[in-house]
Amino acid sequence: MEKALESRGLWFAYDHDFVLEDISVSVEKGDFVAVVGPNGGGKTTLVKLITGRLQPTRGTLTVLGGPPVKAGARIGYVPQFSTMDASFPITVLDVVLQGLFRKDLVGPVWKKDAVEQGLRAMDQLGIAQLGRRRFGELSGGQKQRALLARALVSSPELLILDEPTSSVDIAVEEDIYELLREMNRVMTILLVTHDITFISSYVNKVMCLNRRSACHATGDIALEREGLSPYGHKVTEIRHECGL
Amino acid sequence: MNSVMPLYLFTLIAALLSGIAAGIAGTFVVTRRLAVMSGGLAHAVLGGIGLAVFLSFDPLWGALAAAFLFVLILVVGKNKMGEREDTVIAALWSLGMALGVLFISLTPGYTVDLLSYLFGNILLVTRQNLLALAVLDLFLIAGVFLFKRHILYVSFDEEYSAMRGLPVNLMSLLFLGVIAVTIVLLTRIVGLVLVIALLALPASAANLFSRRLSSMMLLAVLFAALFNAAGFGVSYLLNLPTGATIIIVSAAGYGLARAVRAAGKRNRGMPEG
Repeated sequence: MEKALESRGLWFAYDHDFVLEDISVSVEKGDFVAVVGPNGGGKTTLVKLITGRLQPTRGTLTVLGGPPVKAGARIGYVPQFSTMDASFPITVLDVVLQGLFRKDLVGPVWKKDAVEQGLRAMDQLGIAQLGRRRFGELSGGQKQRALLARALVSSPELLILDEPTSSVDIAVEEDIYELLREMNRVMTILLVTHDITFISSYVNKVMCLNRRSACHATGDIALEREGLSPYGHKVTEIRHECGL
Repeated sequence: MNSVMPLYLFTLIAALLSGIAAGIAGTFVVTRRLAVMSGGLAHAVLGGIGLAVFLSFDPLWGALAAAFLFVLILVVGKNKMGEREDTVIAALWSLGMALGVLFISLTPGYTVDLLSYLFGNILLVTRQNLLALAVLDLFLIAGVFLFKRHILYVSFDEEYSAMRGLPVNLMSLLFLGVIAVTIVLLTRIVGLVLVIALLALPASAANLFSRRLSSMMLLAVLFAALFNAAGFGVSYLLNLPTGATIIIVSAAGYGLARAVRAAGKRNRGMPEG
């Protein structure tokens, strides 16, 4: 059966510094995977390889059964909204419709059914009333929902989220995870995060990434103990078999 | 100069034609954060003008060649050689000007008015210049109409656009090309030192009142044409240098737009697009 994601001996370097070394992972269709690891561990690099923005230095990576560049239209991607230009003049509806845009769509106007599709995706995320607002004026949670709507509007087979809850409050965070759980029934989800406290009950696979190796704590994640991080947050440690 | 067309009509047409190009290219400059690159390009163009004068070519061709060379070196230096973008810009900026001054000083028996290249001179604008501007305007209007959504999405989120198969690198290059040609053609009017303000100020003012990229462009065109025409008028009435007056009027216009926007926000209490 076609895998959602598979890499064999994947290496990647910016200039001469390797960020990913010998990564071999596979994600089945229908999985809900959390990608965890320290900052600089290669999480964002891996996402960029999957979306086809970067090319592997060595090794192979297949996404939805083919090379990443061919899979683009079947992927929904939610970047960190803090990286988006808040002063850019664009309406929320137009942001969402980007999820349906292809290069052969010449001319200035959207077809009616595309707009309706966009509005449905916004409705699903509870932001239907914000369509005409300027994207940069939204609150963090609203921006996150708009970017989620953009990713979901094309009904992707693979949904990738890069720290979707890093700048939203806990209520929004829970909402988003509940929604993802629902989405997981029809699509594979890859969630990049540095905090798995919340998500451990949602995901069925954890991919740990710290440059040198990635490993799966598959199935039932072994939660070793709960304690307090140096910052006073509750943290959950995961026991690995791979010695990361 | 133009003997048949009255000067006021000629300058009004120039104001409108350069406003269209400045508004559209200026929107690219502002939304893609290319103001410093554009300023550097405008200055470096003097190298091409100087060489053309030295070899007795039309300076316009020298300027165009220098502008494209600037973009080429910048893209190759940044993407292929890993050089810092701002360093490349700064180096080319000064080098271009140095070469320009050198070539012009070496030109025998011909005293070029260096100041008119630096600060512009409406009296040196020819009908050919206006024709070239009109062709550029038509090209820009057609391009924006056909590829409105391509431009919107590549400008807003390159990464997502690339993932959905849009030719992001080609379009980025086209943005730079459009900016380069616009700068070269506007240089005749306001001069290469001042041209960047003519691109950046109307578009920045327009962004204060726009929820859409398309309305920002339209408003930027209107503002640029208005600032141009008002600048021409003031410089004519008070006998001031045209290029400098246009830029000062543009800056005042931008300040006014800011004030109007701030007042609007206070009145309504809430920000709106």
